[in-house]
Amino acid sequence: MSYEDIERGDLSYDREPVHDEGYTPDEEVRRTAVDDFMELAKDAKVPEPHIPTIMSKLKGSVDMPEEFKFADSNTFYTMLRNIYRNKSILITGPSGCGKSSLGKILADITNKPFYAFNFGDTMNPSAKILGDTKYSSEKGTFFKPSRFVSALQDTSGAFIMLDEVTRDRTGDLANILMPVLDGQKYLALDESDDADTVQINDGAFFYATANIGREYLGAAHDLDRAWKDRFTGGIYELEYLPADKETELLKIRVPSISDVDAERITDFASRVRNLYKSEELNTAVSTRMCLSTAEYVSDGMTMLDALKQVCLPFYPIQAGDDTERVKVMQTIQSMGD
Amino acid sequence: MVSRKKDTYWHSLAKVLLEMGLKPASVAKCIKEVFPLSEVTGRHVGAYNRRLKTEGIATDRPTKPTINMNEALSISQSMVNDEDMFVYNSSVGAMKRTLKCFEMKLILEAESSEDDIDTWIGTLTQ
Repeated sequence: MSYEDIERGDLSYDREPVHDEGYTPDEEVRRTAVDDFMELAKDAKVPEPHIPTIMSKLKGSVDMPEEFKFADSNTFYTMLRNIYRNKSILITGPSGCGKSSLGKILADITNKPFYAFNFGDTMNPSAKILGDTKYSSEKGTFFKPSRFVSALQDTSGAFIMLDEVTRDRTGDLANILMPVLDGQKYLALDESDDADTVQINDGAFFYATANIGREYLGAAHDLDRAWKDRFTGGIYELEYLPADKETELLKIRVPSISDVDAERITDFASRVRNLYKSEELNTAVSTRMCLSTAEYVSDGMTMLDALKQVCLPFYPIQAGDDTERVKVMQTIQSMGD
Repeated sequence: MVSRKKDTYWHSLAKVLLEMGLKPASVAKCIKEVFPLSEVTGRHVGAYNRRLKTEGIATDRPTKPTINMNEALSISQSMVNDEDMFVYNSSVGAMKRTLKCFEMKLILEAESSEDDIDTWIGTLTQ
């Protein structure tokens, strides 16, 4: 009799009685179908109850936007999970690959108030993060908290984008932000013992972007280990979009561009990126450059002229025939008319 | 191939209400009350109910509802946790974003920018 027979309700017993070890003939017990079933049931694996998780709910309910359709589909959902859990995240990747755009899209989707702070345009770190003293004839001298302080206190739970954190060459911004990003969750407005502190709203979420690499001359080449450690949601290393996704993006952002032109632009970008990967070039063609080229073509410029206009200035002119500019020029010309 | 069942933000609320003996159509009404932009119908809830039975989770259901519709509507709001609300808001946000992209594309296709360009060129030649 099999397990399936028992499940069907077929309990007829057509076997010889079995003598288990330990039974003497006098104590012979005729085994029944129920005994067989109990034995099988003892060994059968009980399926574990399915417990929905935040990730499974997000995957089942939220459609992934076009811009997030990378090779790894988990990127979008883990980022959403980190927003829900208030785990700060750091996004690194080449310039123009869409790091800042993704931040804005995530804030839109989660319906959080969006605040962006670019570390590259900082003149006075403490004024940027804490605030500054102002004067008015009515109030006299007074302290005006910064926009960053307002973002921290936003009761709706702000989405705070710290853009281009590697542009903080002095490290002052990073040092001021240490207690903001870690478990202490406060910001002291001055250095005295009884300094006023700003308590950070529980819903505030930090999204930082960085260009890490030797080609970014105005930036630090890497981030402090302790600073990286504060991003408990993890560090995402983004790459450029795959060619087919980049073509789709061009058609969405520049609707008047033809399919053929969009494909030619991404084909050119892929070729230059391959040269960059093989270290023949010092920088690659970004998605932003592709969009710019598409806009030129859409406005009536020829493809070759648009590529020359947008891309050539990124590659230096040096003496000789083996310069980066010559290589890029050859790639452009190989595309034909 | 093993089918992978989806989880969504309204499942936990639906499960509780089904356990109270409410019919799928009534459960869908309660879900719409809490998640107004949700596209859940009685059919979706019915399918989820069958899934619960298949998975052996739904047992000993009362044959008659243990609460009435008004009570169900009033307690539904308090039964939704932050996690489900976040997933719902994100789902709506993603839907709106898709619609916005679609709308922008339609507007760009419908409205030619040539008039604006001509006006701008006109200001240059003055």
